Amino acid sequence: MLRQMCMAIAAVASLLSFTATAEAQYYEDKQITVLVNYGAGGTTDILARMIAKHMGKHIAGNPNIIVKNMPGAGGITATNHMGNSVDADGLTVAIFALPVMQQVLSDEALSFKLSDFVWLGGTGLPTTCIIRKDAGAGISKVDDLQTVGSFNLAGYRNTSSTDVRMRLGLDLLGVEYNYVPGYVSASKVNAAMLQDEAQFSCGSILAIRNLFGPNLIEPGLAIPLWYYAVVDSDGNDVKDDRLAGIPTFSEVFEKFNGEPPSGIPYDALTLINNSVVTMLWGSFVPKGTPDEAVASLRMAWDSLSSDPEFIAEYEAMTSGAPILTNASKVQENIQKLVNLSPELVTFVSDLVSAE
Amino acid sequence: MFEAALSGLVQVIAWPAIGYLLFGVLVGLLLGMIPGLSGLVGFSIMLPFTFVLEPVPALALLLGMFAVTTTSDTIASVLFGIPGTSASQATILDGHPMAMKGEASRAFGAAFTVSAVGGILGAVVLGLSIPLVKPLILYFAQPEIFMLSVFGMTIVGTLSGNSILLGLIAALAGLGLSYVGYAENGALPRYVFGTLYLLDGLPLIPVVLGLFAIPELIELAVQGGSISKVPREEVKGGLMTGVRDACRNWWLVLRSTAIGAYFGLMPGLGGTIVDWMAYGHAIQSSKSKGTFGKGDVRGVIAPETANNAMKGGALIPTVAFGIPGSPSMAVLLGAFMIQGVAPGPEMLTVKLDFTFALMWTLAIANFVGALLLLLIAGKLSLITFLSGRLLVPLVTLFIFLGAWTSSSNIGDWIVLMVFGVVGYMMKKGGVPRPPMVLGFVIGPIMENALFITTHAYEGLSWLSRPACLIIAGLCLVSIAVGIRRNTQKAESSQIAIESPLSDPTMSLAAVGLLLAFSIHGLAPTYSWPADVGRIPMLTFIPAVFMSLTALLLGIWQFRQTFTNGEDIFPNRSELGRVFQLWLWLLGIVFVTIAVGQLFALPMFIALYFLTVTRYAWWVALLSAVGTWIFLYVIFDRTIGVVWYPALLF
Repeated sequence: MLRQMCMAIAAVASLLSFTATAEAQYYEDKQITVLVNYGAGGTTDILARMIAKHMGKHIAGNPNIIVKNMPGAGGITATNHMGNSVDADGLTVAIFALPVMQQVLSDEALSFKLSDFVWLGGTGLPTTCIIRKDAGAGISKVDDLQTVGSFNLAGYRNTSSTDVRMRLGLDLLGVEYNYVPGYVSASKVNAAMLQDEAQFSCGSILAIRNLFGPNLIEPGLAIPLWYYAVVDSDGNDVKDDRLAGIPTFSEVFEKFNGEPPSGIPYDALTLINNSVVTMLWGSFVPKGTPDEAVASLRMAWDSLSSDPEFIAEYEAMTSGAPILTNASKVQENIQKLVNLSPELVTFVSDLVSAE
Repeated sequence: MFEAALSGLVQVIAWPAIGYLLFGVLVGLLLGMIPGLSGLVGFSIMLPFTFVLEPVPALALLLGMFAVTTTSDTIASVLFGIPGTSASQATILDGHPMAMKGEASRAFGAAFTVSAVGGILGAVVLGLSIPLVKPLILYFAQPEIFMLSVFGMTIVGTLSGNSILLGLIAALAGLGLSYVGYAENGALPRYVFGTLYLLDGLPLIPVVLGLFAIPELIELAVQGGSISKVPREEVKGGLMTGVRDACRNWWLVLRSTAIGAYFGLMPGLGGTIVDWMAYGHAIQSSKSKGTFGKGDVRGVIAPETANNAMKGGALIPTVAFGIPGSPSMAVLLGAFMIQGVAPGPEMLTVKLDFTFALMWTLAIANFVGALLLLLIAGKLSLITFLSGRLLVPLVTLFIFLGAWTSSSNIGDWIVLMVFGVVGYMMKKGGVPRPPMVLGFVIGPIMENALFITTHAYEGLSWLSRPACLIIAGLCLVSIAVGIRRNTQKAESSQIAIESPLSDPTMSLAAVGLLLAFSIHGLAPTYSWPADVGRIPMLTFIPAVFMSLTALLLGIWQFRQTFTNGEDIFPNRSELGRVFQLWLWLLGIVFVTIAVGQLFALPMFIALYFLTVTRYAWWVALLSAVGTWIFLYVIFDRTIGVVWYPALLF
C-alpha cells in the first residue's frame, strides 16, 4: 500500500515537473507581443500595459514582453487580426476591451465569434449611476426618482454597453427621461453634468473615482443612485465591497415594485452587465495555441491576483483591489454571449436602433 | 497664490523631478521630429515607467515630453512640407516656402523662439486667469462648441487664396470627408464601402500627408534640384534674423498666445484647429497680405506660437474639472489615474501648488526645448541645400511611416496614395487645400455638438444663449473680413495659399472630381435616418451646386484659354515623371503586401539609389541596411509598431 502510494506520488510529481519543465522551456528566450485593440494612452491601453508589465514574471521561462496597439472599428480590427493573421504559437497574446455588444448584436464586421479563441482570463469594473440633485423636481435620495419628472440622460452611443444598461435600468423602473447620446467619453459626460446640460449618467468605478466623485458627488452637486451588480447563477446580486453604501439596481427595483426584477429586459441587462463587470477586458490567444503555452499564460493570469506589486498599482488607479476572472469562468460567460435566445437579440437590436 | 506658485516651482526643480523633465524634453523633441509620431506615442511608451514614480517626477517626465513635440514638429513642416504632428498643419503653408527660398534657418529661428514664448506665456496667462476659468468652462456647453466650430469654418474665406468659390467647395468636401464611418451618435456607418477600415472614419494624418506632403515629394522628385531654389551663398538672414522676426512681431505673438491658450481651454475644440485659427487671424489682421503662402515669416510665427500656448490652455480644464481640452490631455487624464491624482476643483484650491508644478513643467520644458533646437537649427537647415534626388527616398520613408503609424493598416497607405493624387490635382489646379483640411477637422466636432444640442435643448432655445449670440456676431465679422478681402482687387490683398498660375486642365479635373464626390455623397443621405443623414445632406447639396457652377465657369475659362488648338497638357513630360514616381510608390505598397515593410522600405531605398540617382552599389546597400536598423530599433523595438502581416513571410 505504502509502496503504491509512493509510486503514485512519484508519478504525479514527475508529471508535474515534466509539465513545469515543458512550460519553462516553451517561453525560455522568447518574446511575447501583447496586442491591445485600442490606441495608445486610453484606459484599455493603460490597463493592458500594467498587466503586461507584471505578467512576465509569472510566466515560466521569464519571456520578454512588448506591447503593441492596433486600434480600429471599436476594437474589431484587432479581434479579426487575432483570428486571421496571428500564428497560434502563444507568442502573440491579446489583452482587449472585448467587443461585447458587437457579439450580442452579431455585428457582421466581426469575422470571428469570441468563442473561437482560447481564453486566459478577464477583468472588469462595476458601473454606477448618478444624478444631479437639481434634476427635474429635485432629488436627494433614490426614492425621489419616482417623482422627479423628466431629465436628460448623457449617453455615449446607442450601441455602447453602458448606454444599453442605463436605459434598461430606467425603463425597468418606469422613469421618464430624454436620451442624449453622443458624449464620447466619461470626461465629456462629466463636463455635460457639470454644465447641467445632462442630469443623469453612469460610469465605471474609474470614472466615479477620478471624475464624477471629485467634481460632482463630493461638491454636493450629484448623488449616486445604484450600481449594477454581477448576478450569480441563482439570481442573487454579488455585492462589491468597493461600492459599500450604494444599493444595487435590483435592490432599488425591489424597493419600488415590491418584487425582484424579471423578464427579457432584465435578462438582457443581467447578461450584458455580467459580461462587462467580469470581462470588459479579456485576454486570449488563437485556437491551436500549444497547450503548454496556454497553461503557462493562464497560470500567469491567475497569479496576478496575488501579486502585491500589481495590486498596489491597480489600487492606486481604481481605489480598489482588482477582481480577476479565471479562464474557465470567462469561457463560460463567452458561451452565454454567443448562444443568446433570438428574442433577447431582437430585443437589444430594437433598443439600440430606436431613434 | 504666490506661495503655491513658488512651492510648485520648488517641486519641479528639485531632483529627481528636473532630471525626469529634461529626459522627457529630449524624448519629446525626437518624437516631434519624426512625422507621424507624437506625444500620444510618447505617452504610451513612458507610461509603464511612471507607475513607480512619485506624482511630480512622473508628470514632469510626461508633460516635459508632451510640451515640446509641437516645437520640434516644425522641422519636418518647414524642411519637407510634412506636418510633423497634427498641430503643425498650418505651419507648412509658409514654413516650407521659406525653406524653398533658402530661409529654413530663419523659419526655425522664428518658430523655436515663438514656441518657447508661446508655451511660457500660455502657462502664465492661464495661471493668472485661474479665477476666470471655472465660469468660462462651465458656460461653454455644446451649443457654444457648435457655434465656435461654425466660427472656425468662417476663416475659410481667408484661407481660400484667389477663389472663394473653390475655397468653399474644398471646405464642404472636407466636411463631407469627415462624415465617413460611424457618426458619434448613430448606429449606422456612412460611406464605408463595406470595409472595416473606414468604420472609424478617415484618419487625419494620412489625409493631410496625402494632400500636402505627397505633392511636395512629387515636386522634389520631378523638378530635381534642392529644396531651396536659392543657392546657399545667396541666402540672406539666418537663425538670428528669425529670432529678430519673432521679437519684431511681438504683438502677433501675444495675440496668437491668447488664441492658443483660450481655444485650448475650450473643451472639445482645443488643439485640433488652433493652428488654423491663429494662421487665419494672422492673415486677417495683416495690412500687407500679399506674401502669405509665399514664405511669410508671420505665417510661421502665428501657428507655432498658438500650438504651444494651447497646451497650457488644455491643461487647466483637465486638472481642474477632468475635462480634457485636447486628445492628448485625455491621455494625460490616464496618467493622473495611475498616479492616484483625481482632477477636480481641489486642484485649484488645496492642491494649487501641484497644478502650478505642472504649469512650471510646461514653461521650463518649452524654454529648454526651444534652446536645444536653436542650437541645431543651423545644421538642420543645410538639408534644404542637398540634392532633391538624395532626399526623395528619405522623405518618402517618413511620409509612409507617418501614415502607417495612424492605425497600422494598409488602408492608411491607400488613403495616403488616393489623397496624394487629390492633393496634386488640387495644387496644380489652384483649388485651395487648407479649407479642405479645416472642414475635415472641424466636421466631427460640429456635427456632434449640433446633434447633442438639438437633443438636449428644447427647440431653438439654445440660440438665445448670450455666448452663442456673441460668437454668432464674431462669425459675421469674420465672414465680412473674408468677403472684403476677396472683393479687393489690389495685389496687396491676394494671398498665394495656392499658386495663382494654375493649370486649367488640372483645375477642371479637380473640380470635376469634387463634383462627382459631392453627388456620390448626397445620393445615399435620402435613405438614412434623419439623425445620420441630415448634416451630410445639408453639406452636399450646396457642394453639388457650387462645384457645378465652378465646373461651368471652368469650362468657359478652358475654352477661352485654348482657342487656337494648343496642347491642353503643356506639361506632358512632367506628368510622365509624376506617373513614374507614382509607380515607385505603388511598388512600395505591393512589395509590402508581399514581404512586409521591414524589407520593402529598405529595398525601395536601395533600388532608388541604384537606378534613379545611380549611386554605387555599396552606397545603396549601406543605406538599405541603415534604414532597416532605423525601422527595427525605433519603430519595431521601441515604439512597438504592428507591421503589415506579409503574405510570404
